[in-house]
Amino acid sequence: MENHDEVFERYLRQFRPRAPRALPDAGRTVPPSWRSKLAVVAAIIVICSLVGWFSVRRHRLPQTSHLIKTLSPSPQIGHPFGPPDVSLGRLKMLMRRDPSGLDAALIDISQRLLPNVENPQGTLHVLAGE
Amino acid sequence: MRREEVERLYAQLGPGLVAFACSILGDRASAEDVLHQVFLKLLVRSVITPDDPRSYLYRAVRNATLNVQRSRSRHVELDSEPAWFEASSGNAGEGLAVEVALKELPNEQREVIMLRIWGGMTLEEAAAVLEIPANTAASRYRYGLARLRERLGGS
Repeated sequence: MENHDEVFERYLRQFRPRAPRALPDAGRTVPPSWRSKLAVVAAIIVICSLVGWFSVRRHRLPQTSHLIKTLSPSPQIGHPFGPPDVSLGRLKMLMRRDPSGLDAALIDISQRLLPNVENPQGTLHVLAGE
Repeated sequence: MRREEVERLYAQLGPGLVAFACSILGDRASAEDVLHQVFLKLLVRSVITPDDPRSYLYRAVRNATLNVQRSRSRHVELDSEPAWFEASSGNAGEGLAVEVALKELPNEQREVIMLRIWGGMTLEEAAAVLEIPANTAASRYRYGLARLRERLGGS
């Protein structure tokens, strides 16, 4: 580029363009104080909803202790294969909700249903004696 | 794009951009409206910061001004009052003379001059904004500058 072009460019650049008027406020972000308040309110709503949902769910489903109770065979009935209310569905539910409770329930049921091999008057001992 | 970043770009590039928009539209109020429209889109639409914000903004302003121009009637009176340059910069009378001389240039020459002189771009960058070959931009610039110098009496 020729030298006199550069001089002319410099001359033109001395005229600074006028600044535009300020940007309007539209699109301005929510101030932090408002945002934090909004976040707190949202958190409270979420927590209350969760607590409410869990309490409703708990009332709808039978308690674990009740399940164990119903799974245990009734001595009065004396059914040879255990009580009729022991079902796979109930056992599954107990397994999901309280695995340790399931173990306890199964042990309890097996003690009542299966023959006691350690009983001195039991069949096994009598046969072994003969 | 964050508000602070948009405001920084507005302060930095706004004067050149509005002069550029003025040079296409002819009146300052419409040019500022176009500029606001472009910058507010940056705020509202969560645009990712472009690699070269200056070229991006000049291209956006050019497209927006051309849209406005298309929607207008064919003949629009240019502002009679000086609107492009600060009164305090240089000599106020000369500033007006520069503005008038620029308005008399053909659009395509004026655009390249505005981008090169007040947009601070290289001719290649200006060519990219105008979507023309660099050689075309260079020749338009050369002819425009010569004509401008002639109008201004060989300043």
